[in-house]
Amino acid sequence: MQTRKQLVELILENQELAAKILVAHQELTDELINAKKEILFLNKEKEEQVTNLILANKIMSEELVLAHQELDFQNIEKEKRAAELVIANNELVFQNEEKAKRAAELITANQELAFQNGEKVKRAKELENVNRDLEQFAYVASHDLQEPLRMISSYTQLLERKYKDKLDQDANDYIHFAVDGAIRMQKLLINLLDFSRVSTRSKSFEQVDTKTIAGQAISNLQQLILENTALITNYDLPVIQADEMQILQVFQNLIENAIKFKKKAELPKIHITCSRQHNMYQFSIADNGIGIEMQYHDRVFIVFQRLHSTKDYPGTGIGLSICKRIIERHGGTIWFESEVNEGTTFYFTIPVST
Amino acid sequence: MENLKSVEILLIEDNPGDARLTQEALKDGKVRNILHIVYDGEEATDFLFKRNQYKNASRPDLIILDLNLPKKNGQEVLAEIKADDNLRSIPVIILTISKQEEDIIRSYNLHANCFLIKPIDLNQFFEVIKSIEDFWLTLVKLPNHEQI
Repeated sequence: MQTRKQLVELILENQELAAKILVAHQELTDELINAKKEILFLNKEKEEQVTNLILANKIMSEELVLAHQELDFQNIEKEKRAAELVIANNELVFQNEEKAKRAAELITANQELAFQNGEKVKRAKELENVNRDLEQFAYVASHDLQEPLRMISSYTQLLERKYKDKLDQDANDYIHFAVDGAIRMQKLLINLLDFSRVSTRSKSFEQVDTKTIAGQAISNLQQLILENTALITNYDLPVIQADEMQILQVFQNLIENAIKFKKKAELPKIHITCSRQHNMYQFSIADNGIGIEMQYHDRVFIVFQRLHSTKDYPGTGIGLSICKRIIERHGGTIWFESEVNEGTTFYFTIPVST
Repeated sequence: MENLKSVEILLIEDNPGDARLTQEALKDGKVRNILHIVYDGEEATDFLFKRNQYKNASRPDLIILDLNLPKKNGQEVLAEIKADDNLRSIPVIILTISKQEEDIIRSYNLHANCFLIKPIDLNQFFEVIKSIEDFWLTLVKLPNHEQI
């Protein structure tokens, strides 16, 4: 029995083992299958990877080619640029040299200008000195010449006074011409002195009401105005910046002329007015007198130039020259417009004070 | 009577021509006068202060003084006259060619009695001398210097 039991046991064990083996075998088989599957899968994946890699490689190589081409192109461009830069550089170097040359030229030109300016300043100073000397000369000459001239005129007049009845007509005529000449020369000298005094005895500018000045001039000329029954009107005269005495002299000279050169058959009418033209006041003194031929325009302002004989119209011919000098000293200009037998209008400008 | 006595005038004038004209004008005048003429400032003060050649000079009743004088100018002479106790009462008439304001002011500041400008015209010159005579020698009552 034992043995049977043992055998059964053995069979059982065997069966169990067989079962176990079977199971194990099955498991191994499964594992193997799985492993194989796994390997297959991996293989596939690798294949895919390889394919991808090949593809990537291809793409990269294509990109590399492109990049290479691009680089080549860029290189060429860069070379071109470099060549251009070299040219540009050369150009710049050239331009720099030109600039340096120009700068040198400019420095030279500047020096030349500075020198010329210096010369001009010198010249201006010289001219100023010459001018001052001339004015001084005119002043001294006219002043100092008066003394001996006064002796001539005084003693010829004294001769006339004391011996008029004791000499014959010829002698009286001679004395008369000597006296007349001396007196005229005295007037010229006084006028010349006045003329030189425009700048040597000038005063600084101040506020001047030209309406008051016109009134003053009219009052100074009262006698002449009454004698000629002159009508003088004025309108819109401003306050200006000027040397009062000199502006008065201008008004007085111009009004006096306007009366003096009246028409014989007509009473003198004079109108004084002013208008503003930009930064200048433009004064006008209009008369209804005999007029001035325009061809003499420039001559009337020259010292001692006269258009009429002293017999018809007395005077030394300095009045307008003095006016011109005064107006120019004030930074203005003087001129006239005239029609013969119709009248004359004198204009002068004075800067509007700022 | 005072009026019978000649009036003594001192003319201080460097220009003989002007001096002679003044003399001529005074010659025509009504007032009896003795005219002394000196030709420069120093001579003038010598005369007034009785120095050198003028030791015996008389004291003038009236002085006619030009401003522009050699050696010592008119204003210096005027200052000396007006600084002197004995001389300052003598009327000093400035007669000059100068019209300059500063000359006029300075002269009056130095107590000039009047300032006249020499006219250029002879007739006017005679008028001025005549007016000096009319006013200073006729109208004006001057102190009797012998009592000073």
